[in-house]
Amino acid sequence: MSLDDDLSGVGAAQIARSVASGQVSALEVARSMLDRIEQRNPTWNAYTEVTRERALAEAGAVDVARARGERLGPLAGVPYAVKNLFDIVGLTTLAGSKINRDRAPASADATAIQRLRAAGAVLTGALNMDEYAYGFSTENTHYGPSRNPHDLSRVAGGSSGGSAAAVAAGLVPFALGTDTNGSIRVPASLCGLFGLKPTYGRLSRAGGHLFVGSLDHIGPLARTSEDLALAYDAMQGPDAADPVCAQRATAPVQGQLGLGIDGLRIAVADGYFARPMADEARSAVAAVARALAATARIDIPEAGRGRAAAFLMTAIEGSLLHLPDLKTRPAEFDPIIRDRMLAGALAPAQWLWQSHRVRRYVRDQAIRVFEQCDLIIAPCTPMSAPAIGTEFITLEGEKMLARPNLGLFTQPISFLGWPVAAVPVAGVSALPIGVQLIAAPWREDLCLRVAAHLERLGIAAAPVAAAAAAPGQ
Amino acid sequence: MSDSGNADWNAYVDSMSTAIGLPIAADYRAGVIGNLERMAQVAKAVNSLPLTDTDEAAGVFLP
Repeated sequence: MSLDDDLSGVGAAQIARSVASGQVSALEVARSMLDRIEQRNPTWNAYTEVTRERALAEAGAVDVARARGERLGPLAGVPYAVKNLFDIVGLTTLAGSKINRDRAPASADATAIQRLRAAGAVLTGALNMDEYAYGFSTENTHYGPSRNPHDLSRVAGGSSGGSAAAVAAGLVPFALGTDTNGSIRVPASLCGLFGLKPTYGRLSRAGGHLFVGSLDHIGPLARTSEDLALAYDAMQGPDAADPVCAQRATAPVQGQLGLGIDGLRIAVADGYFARPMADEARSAVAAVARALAATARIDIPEAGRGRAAAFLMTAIEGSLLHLPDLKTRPAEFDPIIRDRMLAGALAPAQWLWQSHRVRRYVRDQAIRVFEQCDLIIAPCTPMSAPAIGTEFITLEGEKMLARPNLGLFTQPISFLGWPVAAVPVAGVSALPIGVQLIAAPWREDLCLRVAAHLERLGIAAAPVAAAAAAPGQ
Repeated sequence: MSDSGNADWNAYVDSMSTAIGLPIAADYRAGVIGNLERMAQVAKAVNSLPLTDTDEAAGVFLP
């Protein structure tokens, strides 16, 4: 790798190797990527803030460490960016809102950013999202929609839409998102990326603005399974600052990506997950099932009821978090979410408490599927990216609201807290589409092993969007 | 178990907004009621599961 190459398509692992070997300096990489971000970001509206000075300082520190002969971290010199709900010291954390602009700048980095920095990564900025993460499309009224690098007229997905757009456009090799009901997996599917929603409680969310604490996860989006694993491993570990973060030893997955699928029982999700979807979503599941020789079909019990409970928990908890502002500044909320927020704040307490009790019941029922299989293939989004502004979609004759139903297949799995890799399936349609690879709690290793296997087979691939990679664009 | 399918959401919004001090502007009212109606439909799915007084929520609080 040299700076004569176009760095937009170069992955995190390769950048880290090149920086460690002295082939390029971290500062040269950072300058090149920052210049591209500043020139090209307006096309996709992925960034809401570029942290140029910080990036150059972090990159410079990597180069100094190398010159001193110090051992470099696994992400040394790798540029990345984060959804703008993660605290970045010195910046006001927007969480996609206008209201939060009034807040004081963050006094410390979020735990995830601290850990990535310790691994040598270089933070280039904050990324667009749905207001308060309440959406699947990143059609943010305050900051404008993020645009899908594969087709600028279409949504990037959400709520981590800026994260997906930045990676798919080759502005950074990986980005952080959050996933409450599908907000990593939906944009990963629509922008053709790998995304990891780890087990609930695996990665610390401290310093990230909450949406629905009962359901919130953080995780990376990247263009290869190796880069996903690198970022994920760097963020693992307990954190007393997050009450949900599990007291578990780290379980690195990087060394397991080459293990293949021998001995794994792989099944295709049926029942709830066979409900109406577009041809491309069905084709993606079929292509992955064929490649993995997965013929068994299993039903995840109570998935539909789980989605219903997740919907209510989200509407009520997500709204009550903002009750003071809903009382005094309702006109300043994004009109796309305002009425939902107000309704959620007024909803009967019984709906919320019943949902929490149902959650435990559903967990106990659903976990039994892992007696029959080790990994489940399921659709990720019910279709490829809709056009910006789409209100309704029709799937196999059934008309439904577009925005909430992009998370139709992701919502039950985050409710269960199981780890999932979203994997982009090559060659099934003109626009990207992904599938979910779902494993039992704490088995992220299986999700990423199978993702890596599919990548080696050529079934999964996440190239930089052709339009974004084209010279002179 | 009863559900809230026949609720008068118009009256509910008036009562609840007063009770918790959350005014609902006229411009937002129809949207808010529409969302409550949608939530009430969804709530049928969670309320149709018979639970007993021994069915505990899955909390994560650790003292």
